[in-house]
Amino acid sequence: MGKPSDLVQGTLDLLILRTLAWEPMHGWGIANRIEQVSGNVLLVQQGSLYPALHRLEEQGWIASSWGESENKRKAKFYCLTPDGKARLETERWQWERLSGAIHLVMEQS
Amino acid sequence: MRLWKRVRMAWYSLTGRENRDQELSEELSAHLEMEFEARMAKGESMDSARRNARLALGNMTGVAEATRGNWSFSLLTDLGQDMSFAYRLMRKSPVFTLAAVASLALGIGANTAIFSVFRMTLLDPLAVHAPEDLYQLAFRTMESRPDSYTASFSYPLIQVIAKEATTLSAVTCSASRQPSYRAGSNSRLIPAELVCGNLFDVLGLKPALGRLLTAEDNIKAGGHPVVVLAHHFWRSEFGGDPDVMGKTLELNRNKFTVIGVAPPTYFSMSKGNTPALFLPIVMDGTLQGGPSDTNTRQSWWIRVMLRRKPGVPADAMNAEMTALLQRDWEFSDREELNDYRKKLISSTAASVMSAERGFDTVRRERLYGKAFQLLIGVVAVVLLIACINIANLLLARATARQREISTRLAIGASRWRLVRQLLTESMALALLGGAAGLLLAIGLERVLVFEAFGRSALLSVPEVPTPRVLLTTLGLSIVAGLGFGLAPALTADRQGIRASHRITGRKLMVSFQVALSVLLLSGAGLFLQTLENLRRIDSGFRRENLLTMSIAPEAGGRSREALLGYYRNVTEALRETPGVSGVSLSSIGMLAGSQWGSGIQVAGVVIPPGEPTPLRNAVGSGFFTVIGAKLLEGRDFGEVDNRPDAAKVAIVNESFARKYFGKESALGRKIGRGAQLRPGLKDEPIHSIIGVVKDLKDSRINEAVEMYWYVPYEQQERIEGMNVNVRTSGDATQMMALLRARVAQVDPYVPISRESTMAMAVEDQIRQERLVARLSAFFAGVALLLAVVGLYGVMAYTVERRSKEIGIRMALGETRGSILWRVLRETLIYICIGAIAGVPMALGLGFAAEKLLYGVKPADWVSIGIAVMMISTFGLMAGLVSARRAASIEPMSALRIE
Repeated sequence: MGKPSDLVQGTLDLLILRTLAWEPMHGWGIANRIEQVSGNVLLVQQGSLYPALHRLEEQGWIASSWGESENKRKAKFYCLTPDGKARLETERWQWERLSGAIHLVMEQS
Repeated sequence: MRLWKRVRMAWYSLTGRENRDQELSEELSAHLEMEFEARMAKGESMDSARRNARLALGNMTGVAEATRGNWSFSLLTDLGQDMSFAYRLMRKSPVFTLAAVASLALGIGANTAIFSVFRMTLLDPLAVHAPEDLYQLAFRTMESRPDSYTASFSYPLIQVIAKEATTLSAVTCSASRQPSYRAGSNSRLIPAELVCGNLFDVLGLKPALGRLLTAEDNIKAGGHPVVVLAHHFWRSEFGGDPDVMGKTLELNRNKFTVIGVAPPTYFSMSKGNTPALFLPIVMDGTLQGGPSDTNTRQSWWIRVMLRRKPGVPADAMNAEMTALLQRDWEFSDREELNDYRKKLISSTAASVMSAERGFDTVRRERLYGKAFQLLIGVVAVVLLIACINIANLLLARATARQREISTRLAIGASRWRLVRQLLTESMALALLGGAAGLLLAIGLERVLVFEAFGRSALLSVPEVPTPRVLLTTLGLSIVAGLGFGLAPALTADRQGIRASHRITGRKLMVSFQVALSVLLLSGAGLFLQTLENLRRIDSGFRRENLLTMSIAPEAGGRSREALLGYYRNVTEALRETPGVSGVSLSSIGMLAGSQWGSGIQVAGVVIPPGEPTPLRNAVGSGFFTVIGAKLLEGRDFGEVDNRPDAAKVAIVNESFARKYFGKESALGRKIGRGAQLRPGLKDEPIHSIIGVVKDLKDSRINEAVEMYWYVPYEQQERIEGMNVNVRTSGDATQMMALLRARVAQVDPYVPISRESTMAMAVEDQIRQERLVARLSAFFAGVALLLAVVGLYGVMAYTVERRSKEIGIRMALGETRGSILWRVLRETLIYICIGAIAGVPMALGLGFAAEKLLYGVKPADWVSIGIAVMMISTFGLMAGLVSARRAASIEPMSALRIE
């Protein structure tokens, strides 16, 4: 990582982990859920969703298995691993710190 | 177990790649379907839903590629893919692959071989414990010539050093000998080393078998008839027999018991020497059949190795050794201690020399350093030319592959991925070339060592390539692969989007190749002329059909009369052999590379001490007639002179006569050897000069002329071992076996060695020059070939690219002749640029290699001219082929293309 897109990328990871904390879900479901929950403010780039999912899986924060979707379709479901739960907490804490800090700066003017 | 998990994952990522790809594509299709259905449910039309679903996900291949990039070991799996693609490409163009691999193999193989011989000879430390603490003892006096040193010492002095030196942790020694070894009914001379008992301890060596010599094996002169075998000798002579211990060897008619075998990694403290045996040095007398020299302070014959105490600076060692040397010399000097001697002794200064790389590193560097540097340069240039060629070919191919590359970019391949693919292809080529080069290097290394140092040095060449050789090859392959792969890979990346029509870079590279060829060709010209000049040197005697061999009857057990009788018998036996037109003996062999001096006295001439004295030889009757030398005054030795009781006579050479007698006649003047040999013994000048001979170069072919004087061998003491000189009426080479058999008939137990014709002896002495000449000529040829191929490639490519333009020109009425000339002119321009750049390079080479030349000026316009002519001729021929193709283009079909 360490690219200019760090913030966005990190944010996407956080959002995925948070979404999977509710229940195991497939890729499309994750994107959809994020959009719905954020009131259509956060639009997930579908193209960058799968690289992120596979990266998180390689890091051992989420695990995958094949299952059946609501429409009886074969789909790959992701769920949060114990490591992933811990990671979510760290990311959440970092995010709160960051957004708090930004908030403080904005209030100053 | 993390490691194990990672290994498993790596394995899975390589083998399970297809499954995983399959899963990914299923996952993405499922996503598309869900998106599609969701959009349909929202009321979009089927077409629009499908389209928008795809748009939302983006380029499928791109997404898949980006996702795969996040898998572990994705680099590894991509590499696997790239390799298999590279392999398919190579299969598709076998001629290109073969040419590229072959030229690389040649370049890499030659570089590896020469560099590894260079390293073995000059860079590698001795394979012993802590070689960095080893120093060779040497000293200089005010009599020493510049750049020279004396490195021989007496055994008593070594013992003094061992006892008193505080800067050293140990001192050890060795001296070379050639004892006659009897195996069955034959005797032959084998190389052996007399060594101090502690040698193996000091060097930290462990026996391969049995035990090695210790200090206890080297105490009483003549009291330790034991021998340690060199590993190679144990293998070749005893077939690696594990029960060799306790067997006896007969050396110079004395029996020695085998106590062990040295480790295979150790040969000698002198690099390149491959002694077969190691004997205690106190056994020197037994070996020679006389008293031991280890008891005399006056015999300085042993080379000394010092091991310094850790951290002691060389200056401290020098100071201590200087003091010990001066004290010992003053105490034991064999001459009267006059003022001159005192001054000489006090001018003595020890200079210890690092022996990390063996004895006489400085001398070896002086002898071989320059030649090796030159050869390394030559082969590096060849590799460079080969790389330029392949880069050119790859560039041409990359242009031809533009469509493929554009397609790949369009369907979502990343640039970096593409560059990696192209680099993998060139790396695969380079590694193939490297593998073939390694095979070549192994063979070439042996050829090089044989050519440069002779057969015996081959023993020290490892049979399997060492890890360092393997690393060198691998390193060279990678550098070469990057070198010729990087440029095409990076430009191909740009060309993937917009084709570049500029090929100026490639044309310049071709000119550079031409320049390098001029450099190598003219260099080869210089060295070939040097070789030819050396072969044609006037040595003052006729070398055709003259052959020599050494006979070395052991001194032990033979009286002086018996020895003289044996020599007379050998002379007679050879004279009676059909095909022989003359025979004469000499104590120093013709062109044997050895010299013998013993000081001089000339009646009526005062010779200041310290002045260089003449060299000396003892010869048989008719010697100068047999070797075909020219007598300027007087007569040759006759039978009457070569008798112990005959009147003492001598013949001197021209330089001798001129130096001591000026323009006066030398005939009748009295001379004798210098009076410094044995203390107390006063020689008078008793030899009357009966002849003056033209100067000979009979020691080394390219030596400076020395003063010489000759006496009949029966009139002097030193007669153990003589050389037989035979003039044949037919081809000497064919007579050699017969003559050897005739000598062996006289006494089968006398070892015969070093039989050679003068032509062979000359070749032996110009090994280094011959090696340089042959290799540089060979590689200049390779460079020429590669440059011409490169030139052809570029011209052919130019013509092909411009076929449409040529078609138009012809359609507009330009003649075929004019087209032909147009292409030829372009070729000529590249050659001219190359030649103009090459001439200064060639001149530079000439001056840099001046020390390696003989009879040729560094700025040799003939060599340069021939070089330029050769590259121009062959280059134009290559251009002509392309030009003719251009001229034969049919305008109609050329314009119809595309």
